[in-house]
Amino acid sequence: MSDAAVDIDSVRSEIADEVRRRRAGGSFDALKERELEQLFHQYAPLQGRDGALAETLRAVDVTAFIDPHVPVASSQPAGTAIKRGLRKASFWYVNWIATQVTRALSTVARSLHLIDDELTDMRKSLDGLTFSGSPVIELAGAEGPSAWWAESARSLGVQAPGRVLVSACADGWLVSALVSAGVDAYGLDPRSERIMEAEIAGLDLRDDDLLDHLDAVADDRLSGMVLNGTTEALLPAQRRRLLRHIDQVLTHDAVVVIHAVHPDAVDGDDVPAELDLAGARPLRPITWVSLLEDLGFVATVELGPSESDFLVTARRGSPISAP
Amino acid sequence: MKVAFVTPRYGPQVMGGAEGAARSLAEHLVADLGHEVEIYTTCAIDHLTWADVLEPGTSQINGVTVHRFRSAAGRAKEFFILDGSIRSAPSAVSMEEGNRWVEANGPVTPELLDALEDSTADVVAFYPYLFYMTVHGIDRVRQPAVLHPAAHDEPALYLKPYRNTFASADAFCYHTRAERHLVERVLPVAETPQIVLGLGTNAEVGRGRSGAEVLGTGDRPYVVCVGRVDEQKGAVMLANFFIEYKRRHPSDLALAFVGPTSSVLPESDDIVITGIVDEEDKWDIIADALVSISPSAMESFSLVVLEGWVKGIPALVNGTCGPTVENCSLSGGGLWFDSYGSFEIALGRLLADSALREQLGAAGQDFVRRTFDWPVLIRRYEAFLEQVIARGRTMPTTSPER
Repeated sequence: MSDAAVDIDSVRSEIADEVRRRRAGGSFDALKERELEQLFHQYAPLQGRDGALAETLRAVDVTAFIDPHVPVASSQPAGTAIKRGLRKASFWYVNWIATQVTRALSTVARSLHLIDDELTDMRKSLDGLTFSGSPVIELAGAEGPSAWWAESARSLGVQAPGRVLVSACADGWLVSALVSAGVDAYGLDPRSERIMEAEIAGLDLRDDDLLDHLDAVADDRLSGMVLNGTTEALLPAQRRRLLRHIDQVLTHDAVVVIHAVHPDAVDGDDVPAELDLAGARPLRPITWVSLLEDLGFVATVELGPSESDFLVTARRGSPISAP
Repeated sequence: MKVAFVTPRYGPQVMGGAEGAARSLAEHLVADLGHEVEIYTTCAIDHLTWADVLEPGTSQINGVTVHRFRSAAGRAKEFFILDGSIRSAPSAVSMEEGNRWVEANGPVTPELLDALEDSTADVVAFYPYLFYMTVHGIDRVRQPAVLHPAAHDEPALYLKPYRNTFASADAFCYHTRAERHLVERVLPVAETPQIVLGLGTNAEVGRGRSGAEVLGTGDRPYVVCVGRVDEQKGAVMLANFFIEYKRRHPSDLALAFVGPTSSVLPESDDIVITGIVDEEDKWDIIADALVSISPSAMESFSLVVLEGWVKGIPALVNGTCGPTVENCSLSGGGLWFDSYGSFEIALGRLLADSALREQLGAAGQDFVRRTFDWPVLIRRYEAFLEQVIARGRTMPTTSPER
């Protein structure tokens, strides 16, 4: 057997090109292809993979045509002949109805395509303002169990009475420390290769984006949130979304820990390029304190030894007690 | 540790699917790790009728204690009409109508639920989400409840009764990340503890006969589709795609459907339908196939794709099925199609290029060994259950004792 790995994306791209080439060359029988497409889409998922509107619209197009040629196959000896006779006798009527329904469905399908076009244009405009996902900003020397802020985060997490979320959890070092201390903790990190080993070893780690994840969390279900390296690259709209989630998903006595790059340090060489590419500016620690106080938290700030990063620790409703 | 599984069908007569997965987990917990496992299930074998055909009562199957209960009702006659009516906008269906759908889908099992409340298990695992016993049982148990959703992007997932079902779970056990993303897209349960476990592959037990000999197809090369031969599983679509492929590319290639039949396929000299075969025959057929095809859009895992990879056979899967596409993508062991055109080109490419087939098959084989080896997988599941038990019952229940 060959050891060389196949580039699946490349093979699929070649297949897609070949399909387009054959379609353009008239190699496929369009009517037959439409009939087969109907079969394909009959039990396809409601929203298509990743909720693709284009796939769903394609299914609408395929099903908009009502075929007036009623099937005549029968398991009874004379059934086919009888059905064929009935079809012939009633074809003028069925065809008239089918034509009207097809016309109506085609109008609906056309309007859906127009809406899709509008949405596509809007999405292109919005793409210039934002981007999907929020990149992780990892400051060299400020990550892992020996980082200056690790013990503070751990000791505050331990005070959370319920489930605690750790963002940009990397290999799960903080989640693992919290779990060892009896905390019901789990982690997120979109860098799937970073979490894989610890996930298989039994930690609840997921390769999800923070904001997408919080969109799917019910209200008042988390007791703590450790936001490490995930707030700096957020654009204003994304930051508002995060604050709304902090307000809604955290319980009345929840704790929040924010470890972030200090805005005064963004021009330094230690700050990763992702921050430049995001086009966002980290908030000052005092701004986080103010925002969290607006949500009912009592917050304190600790600067890192090089003052390149900081830690905000906050508890809702009451000040943080000493560990 | 004592684990209870709740599942609508159970036993060696039930091939594949969520129920087969539940049985594999149960038997490996007993045989590999020495845990005590009991099953709460019905007397049914047929998932279309849920008719009681097995004796009620308690028995042992491969070391697992099985409690069977008669159903008060199977699948209702009006189910398919009701199902058709909810398909276009399931999330807009009322709670009352949704509950009617759950009951009509069957099997309705009040006796099972009463008995489940008295279970002395440390943890109760419901597998899958779709049926009455899960919907009405998950908020009645006193023990921590694990839900194995086995969810597909299907209308039922959007029905209101299932919101409570998922909200009542203390933890989820998913087959794939795609399944987790689907559930979290539809329901606000992302914070609930979870594991993406998948399923282990069974040991290959072929008799060493050639696949063509088992199929009775002489020297003809063939591609294989293992699993329920069911319209909803894409079997009719695949048969039609294959007939068209053969019309456009005449050869002696055959397509073998291997599994229980519940839909009528178009007749063709190029299509062989085996019906239910034993494990030995199944593995012999898989071993000599050129390609293993999974046409279903509604899979939460698809063990049969992995079984093809165990034998180094490349996969061709339905491109709208997130979990099978995820496994092909992660492993590099297969391709996927999203139209007749891409089916024709992808299948043609696989058939014409033996090096490509070997490379894909080898990648899939390696993926299965690394990820879905039973000793690794069952230990992960054990650790997960222990964590769930330690965390305790965290979701509200309607049990009178709480």
